[in-house]
Amino acid sequence: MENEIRVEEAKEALGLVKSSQADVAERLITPWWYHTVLGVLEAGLIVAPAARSPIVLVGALFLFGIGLGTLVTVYRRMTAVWVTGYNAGRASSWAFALGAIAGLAYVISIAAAIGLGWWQVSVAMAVIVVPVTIVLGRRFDDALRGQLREGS
Amino acid sequence: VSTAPRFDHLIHAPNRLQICSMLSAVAEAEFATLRDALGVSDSVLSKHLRTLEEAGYLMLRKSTSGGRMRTWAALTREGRHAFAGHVAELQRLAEGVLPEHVR
Repeated sequence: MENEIRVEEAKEALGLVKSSQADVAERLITPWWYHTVLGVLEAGLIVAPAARSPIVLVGALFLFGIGLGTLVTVYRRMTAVWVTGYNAGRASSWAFALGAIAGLAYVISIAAAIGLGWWQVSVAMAVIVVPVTIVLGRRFDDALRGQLREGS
Repeated sequence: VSTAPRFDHLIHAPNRLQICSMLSAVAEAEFATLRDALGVSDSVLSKHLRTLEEAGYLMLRKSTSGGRMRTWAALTREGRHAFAGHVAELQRLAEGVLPEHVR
């Protein structure tokens, strides 16, 4: 008898866990402009080496930091929840992929523009990173919501 | 690495189970979000958050945003571990599996 009650109680509690996590999934609605703004910020950083100026490089880093901080603050204020992209279970693979691509684009931009004088490569990398950020960012959101609804 | 099943009476109370479930899915959530999701008063939520905080399962952080103070709650590493263990134990109970020392 005690076991039967405990089985039922455990199932009920697991249902509560699942519904609470599904509730979070419904609240994680990323504003449509979020990934576009993130992509533009990344593009600004990646195109900076084309100027071949240390001041522009440092200034771009500074502006990227300020812009990213503002973007995160606005997102938090709007959704009232925060998820760390690199610590979100299976969905994190999309965040890692985005970080790796953006990082690689930045390295290529620096090597091409400063090392070889090919500033066009920096511009191309910056142009590419915007749609990549939008696509991978939305994949991350979908994966995260999906796994929360599944309760995993 | 799977977490060892461990029933946690402190987490099992329905409101606290909901709080931990929501916070386990995010890095942090705002007080008002938790209150609305649970459908409880500020004082009831505060009491549950304080209980979890005193157990070392939860951290509270205050920030000013748009001219007003906001409170953010996040599970600690210990809290996440305890919650994962509790959910594992619930799964074990729901499946009717006997604990290892009884088998």
